[in-house]
Amino acid sequence: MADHPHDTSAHDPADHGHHGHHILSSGILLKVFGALIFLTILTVVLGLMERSGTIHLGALSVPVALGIAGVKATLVAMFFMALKYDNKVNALAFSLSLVFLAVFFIFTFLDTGFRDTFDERSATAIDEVEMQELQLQQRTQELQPAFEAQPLVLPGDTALIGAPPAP
Amino acid sequence: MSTVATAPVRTEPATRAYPPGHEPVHHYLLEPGPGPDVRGFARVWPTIKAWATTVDHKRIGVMYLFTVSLFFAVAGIAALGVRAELMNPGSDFLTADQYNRLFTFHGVVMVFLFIVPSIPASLGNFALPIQLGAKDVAFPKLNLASYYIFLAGASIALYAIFTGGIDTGWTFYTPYSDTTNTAVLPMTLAVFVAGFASILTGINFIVTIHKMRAPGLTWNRLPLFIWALYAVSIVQILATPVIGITMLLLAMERFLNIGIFDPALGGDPVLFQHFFWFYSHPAVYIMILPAFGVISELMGVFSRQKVFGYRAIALSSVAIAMLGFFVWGHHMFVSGQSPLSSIVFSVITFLIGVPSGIKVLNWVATMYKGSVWLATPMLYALAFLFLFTIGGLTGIMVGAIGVDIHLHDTYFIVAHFHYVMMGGTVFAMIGGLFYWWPKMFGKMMSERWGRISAVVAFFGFNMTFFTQFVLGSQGMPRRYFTYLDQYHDLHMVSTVGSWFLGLGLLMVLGNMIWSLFRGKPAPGNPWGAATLEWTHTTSPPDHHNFHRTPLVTHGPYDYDALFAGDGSGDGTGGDGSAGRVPGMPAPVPNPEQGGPQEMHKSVDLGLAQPKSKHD
Repeated sequence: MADHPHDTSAHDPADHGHHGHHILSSGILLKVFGALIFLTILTVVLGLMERSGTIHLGALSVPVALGIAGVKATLVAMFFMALKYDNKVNALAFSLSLVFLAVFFIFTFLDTGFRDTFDERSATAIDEVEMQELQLQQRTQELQPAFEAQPLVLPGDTALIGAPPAP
Repeated sequence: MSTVATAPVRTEPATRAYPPGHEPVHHYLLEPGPGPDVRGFARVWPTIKAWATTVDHKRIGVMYLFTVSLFFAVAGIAALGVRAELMNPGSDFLTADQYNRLFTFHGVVMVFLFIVPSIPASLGNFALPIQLGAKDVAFPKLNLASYYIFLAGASIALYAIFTGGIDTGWTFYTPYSDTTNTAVLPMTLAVFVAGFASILTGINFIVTIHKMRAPGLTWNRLPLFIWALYAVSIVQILATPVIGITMLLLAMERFLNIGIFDPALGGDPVLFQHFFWFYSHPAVYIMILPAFGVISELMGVFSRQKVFGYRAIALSSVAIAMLGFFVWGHHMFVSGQSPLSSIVFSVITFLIGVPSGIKVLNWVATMYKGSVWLATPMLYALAFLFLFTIGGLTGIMVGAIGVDIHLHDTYFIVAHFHYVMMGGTVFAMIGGLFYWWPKMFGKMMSERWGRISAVVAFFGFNMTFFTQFVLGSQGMPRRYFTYLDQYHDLHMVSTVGSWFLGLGLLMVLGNMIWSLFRGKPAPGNPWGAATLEWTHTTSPPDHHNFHRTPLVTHGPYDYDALFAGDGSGDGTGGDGSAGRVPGMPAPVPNPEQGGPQEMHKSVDLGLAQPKSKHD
């Protein structure tokens, strides 16, 4: 089927991926190239704007960046790697691998995005919490010398845990 | 049926009287054999060369079996050493440092070099193509390559062990694995390399199952062992690359100081645990799913009736494989992951209990009102059922967040995963070995010693590990080389139990070696099974598995379609009590039309073409 260049509309679905490469028209290649360049610029611009404080994406920052990268990878796979014109099973395998990756990312974000969330749900007023923390700091400073003077391992315990005897 | 062939008569041909493959006695272990005039080393070398370069799935399966058994023995001896050190508190014959290296050695070798490849690569490689009615796997050379890649990985692991060992535990947790001076990098490289063997085997199995089934072998007629291997292969292909990437990231961090897991470099140590368990939890199912497949076969064959809920068992394997990817966070409840993800992972972990429960229920229902035949494989299968149920239920217990915080890193966890891995996978593998051994080597193992070994190993196993449940719930932490006096008695019991367990496994080994030299020759179908490897080929199989491609006309457990009477094989029809008494001879199947039993002697001698209306 590599005998004549043609675009997607002229493609015969019956001879999917059986022989040789699929030839794409230069128009489509240029359009995909343009989209890739645009998305790259978008990523950079978003990054710069976020750094300068023009926009604030917060927790969405990484998903948006990964989403753009995912769209770019999909474009490359579909057109440059001709997955779009190949056997549909290969496209299914490719999509499933993306889903698989998404599972890993989403569940990991469930961790990194929501750490310490339960500690914030406090009925105590803010100033009261701050006062408690201040008192805790003072208390720690008071106890610090006494704590350091006390050896962590008592002489009688060394045989028990197999550690070398304290000097 | 007057032409039923008895054991072929061995004649002494003066010269090569038959074309290769048509000798009276010919099978994959002998072929290609040197002529009788070749003597000395010249006789040995072609055999070594033929085995080392073979692309025959049966030989590769046997080589894998030998290799993983070796690793099992070595790591098992390490386990006995660990238990011996723990018999008394304090340092007996190992220092704390040596103890750390020994239990890590035990864990790494058992997990990565034994359990992960154990059943799929040995029994799977041997039985899968024959059960499918195929001549070989889809990519025979890739199969051999996977074996050598596995050997390469194992060699690197041995190098790591002999250049100082490794003391991180089999999980390689950061930040410790980033800072310890032991051979972490060679060991992770070994895991990385051995992972490729796993991936190649998975690809091979999936393509073989999709493309090389015999005519008539529909998806609903696949033996459940095949379904289990299919599910395992999916997990192997999807999950194993992740451990490779993780090990690469670990190496990048150590070599190039790129902050990924080390907080000092801006990394996140919990991220390592995410990466590690994203592979290693599905890997737990790589280890146990093939065992489920073996047990399904054994339950059907030795209960002499159709496996109850065939489709439920088949699809629950796939369900476990899929769900297994969503639960890795339950290893990290106390690692500082967010409470939200702990809750989510805990809930999904409970869901795993559903397909596992479906399987256990169906196995029990298969035995119900069946003619249960307590041969050695069935004894191991029953031991599996008992031990895996305990392992699975304690898994649900530690899947609950509150309970897990109490039990995390205690001997309760050690006992739990040994009940699943050892009581589950290893017992199933031994049961499967007893079951397929006659097919693999053409020799029957000793039934009496097989049964004794099953009882001793079962007793020793429970003595070793049930005590550890109690120890763990009392607060004995894992990975410590000494302990408080209050735990002494139970540790003593556990260590003595490990000797019984070792004795039971030694009996299995002795039984195998004995059978190779002194065992009775195995008939084609000693267990009266209905899958293709028993009904359509000899023991051991021909070099190309079958004389003719089988035509499958019934399901894998349709004993009544193959055997007279009630399927118990004793020919007594209704009451069939004779077949249920332990110690009775094996059921002799009625020869199937088109099977090798029907073949006339003249066909074996190469003088006539096989004739059958089923050809």
